Amino acid sequence: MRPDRRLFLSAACVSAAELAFGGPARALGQGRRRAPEYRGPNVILVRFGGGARRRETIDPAHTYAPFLCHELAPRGTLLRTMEISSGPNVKTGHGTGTLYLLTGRYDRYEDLEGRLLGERYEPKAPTLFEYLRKAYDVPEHQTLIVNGEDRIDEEFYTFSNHHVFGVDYRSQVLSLYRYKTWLLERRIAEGAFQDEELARQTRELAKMRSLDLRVDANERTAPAIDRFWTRWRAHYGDSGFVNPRGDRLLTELAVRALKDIRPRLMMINYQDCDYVHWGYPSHYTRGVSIMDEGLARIVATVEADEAYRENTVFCVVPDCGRDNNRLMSVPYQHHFGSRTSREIFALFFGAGIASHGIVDRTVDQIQVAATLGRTMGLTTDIAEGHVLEEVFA
Amino acid sequence: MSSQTGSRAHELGTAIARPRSLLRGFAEGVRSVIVFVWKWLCGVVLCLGPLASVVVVGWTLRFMQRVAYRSWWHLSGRRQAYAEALRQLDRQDLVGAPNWIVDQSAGRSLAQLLREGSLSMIVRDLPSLASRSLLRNVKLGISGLSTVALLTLPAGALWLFAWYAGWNNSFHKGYEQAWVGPTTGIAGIALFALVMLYVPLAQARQAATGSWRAFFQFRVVRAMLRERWAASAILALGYGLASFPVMIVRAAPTFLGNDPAYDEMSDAAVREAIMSYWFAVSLWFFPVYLGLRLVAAHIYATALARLVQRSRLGPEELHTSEAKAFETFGLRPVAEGTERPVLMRAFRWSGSRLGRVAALTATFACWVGVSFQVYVVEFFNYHPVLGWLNHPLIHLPWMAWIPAHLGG
Repeated sequence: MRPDRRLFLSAACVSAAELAFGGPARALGQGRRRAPEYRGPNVILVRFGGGARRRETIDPAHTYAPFLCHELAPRGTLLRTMEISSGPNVKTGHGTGTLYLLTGRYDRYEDLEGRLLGERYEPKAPTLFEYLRKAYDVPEHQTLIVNGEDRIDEEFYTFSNHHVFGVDYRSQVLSLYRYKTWLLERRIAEGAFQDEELARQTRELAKMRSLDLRVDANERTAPAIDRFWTRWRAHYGDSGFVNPRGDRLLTELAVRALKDIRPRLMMINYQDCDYVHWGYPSHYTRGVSIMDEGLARIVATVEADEAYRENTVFCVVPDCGRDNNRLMSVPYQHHFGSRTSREIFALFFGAGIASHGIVDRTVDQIQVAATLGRTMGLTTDIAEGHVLEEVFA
Repeated sequence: MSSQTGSRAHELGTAIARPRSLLRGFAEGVRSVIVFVWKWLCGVVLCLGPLASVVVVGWTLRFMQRVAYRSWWHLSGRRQAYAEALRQLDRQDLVGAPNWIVDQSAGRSLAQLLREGSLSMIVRDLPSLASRSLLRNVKLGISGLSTVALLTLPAGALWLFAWYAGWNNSFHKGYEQAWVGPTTGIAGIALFALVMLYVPLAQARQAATGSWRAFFQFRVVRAMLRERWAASAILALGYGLASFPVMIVRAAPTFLGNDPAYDEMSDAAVREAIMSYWFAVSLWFFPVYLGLRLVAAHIYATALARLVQRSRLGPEELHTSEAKAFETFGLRPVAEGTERPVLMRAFRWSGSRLGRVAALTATFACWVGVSFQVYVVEFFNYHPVLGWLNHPLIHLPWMAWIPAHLGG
């Protein structure tokens, strides 16, 4: 991938002007940019997480994901031996795996606040969302991360700290946490709370907003996202007890987003099979099945929509694998950097993707970003993985 | 002249006797080492199986009984030889560490049978002599395990339920029942810490008396706990510290098992490797398990002796075996010293009360710490059901867990 000299010089000028003049330069830069309209395929990146092995997913004899294994795989190209690097700073975690997929690089990440098991990372290299929004005129609400309620840290992978990209090219997030924040703001505005309760709820709102360390806490939600939550509220109400839960919630959010927001690039961060960390194998196998059912529903939604039907590329890929520890009663309870926790797979299917393809050569997780970049006509200069040429028809 | 001759003869005799006694001492030393290694290794090996470890429980209770009697003998001022005191109690079997398999007096009994008995008597009594200790160990093991389990299993069951219900609910996002898991778990921890204030001394009393009923004499055990509160706190701290390495070795397979070397090994080879690991663990775990109980037995013995000597427990509250031992060792109520000034008594009373509350709190906290470690182990390396119900330092001294897919 050759660096785009013109793009680099333009970005460098904007950065220099930003340093010199601050806000006006940003407006000037944005005004001057006027990127072309995006006419490429829509991309849906499904993180088949948190942590799924090949055996319970793409192995026909042991799969708990029959739709993925028996129906989708023949429709696209299955890379059966994708791996996560065994390099010294490469972790087999959910946050890191997500960022390896989005940035195409094995950067080293540390939790921002140094918390044990915390995964509050800031991408160092641009994410796919940023590449897309910088190269094309795609509004931020059409680049989406659909995130789960247990892993709030992953809400904030929407943009990188890269000096040429960053917050101006960020994506938006749909999640229960975002809905709760939006709802609380609305309820305060509607006068639902009085006196002490109002003060308490206002503090709570400030706390919820402050979690997004890099974004102005007073910033308004994008109008399209506002409308999305308004419809969600009208349907499911305020209680939080009516809407689907767990990974089924992610499916519901994704399906509704496809209808209401019309995303061009969407990543769905499934996660619930990771509950096997607590020792119950059925949480893993059920988690895999629930993701599979969700995948079937999203594919059906895409196929039922004329604008998406022939114009969408899917990529299904786990964030990491799981151990196969024979000394333990539940061999796949964790993913502590073992060989099998680095063994994953990827399935590409949709517009322009070769069908009935099976690739058995060892490929790398960070190649997903470059490959999806190619699908969307992007030059992912800063990503390190090479494009997986085999997946294209 | 004659006295000189006699003296020479005596010196000569001593000179001849000295190498003999040295030789005898050496042989005795070698024998002791062999016996020690045999008893230690037997314990280590028996800790490797869930059923076999019942024998370890019984054997340990018998050892605790010996420590209790020896402690009473020390407290009595050793007015007579220990062997003589045991002879008066008709408990000569309490000399030395208990046997694992054969009867404690098998050597003497066999010699007597051979000397006096007919062939039919030998054939009749030999199997019993050869297995009496084993049978006693099993019987006492079942009894000792049952009493402890009766008090601790409800807490273990609460842990098991809390973990299952809590994470199941979390997986299914049952917000409405989110309180069930944490509440049950905290209740289980509190219940465990509460019963474990009682269990170590109650178990020691069961060991010393050989009676399971003695375990449940709550008033007596509570009085012992109040009498030796500081020692009980130190014992709980000992359990807390000992459970730390236990936690580490039980969680360690999570990391050891990711060694790529296991990928190429057969199931039998992996099983052999994990058994070797548990054998190495048991080499130190068994002495730790035993040591904690022997300390408990000593605390029990001194607490009971003090209570009797200070007339805080009447003879009618003692078990018959305790009463008989105290009678034989001469441990009787002693007259209180001169009355102390009121101020001094007030200081002593409040100091003692304060110390007791502090020790009780510290003991409770230590047992809470032990139960947290169970949670940590199960997070790292889940052992279905039994991980919650059997704590190796408290119940069966067995932790050689073989996963089901390896035939465990």
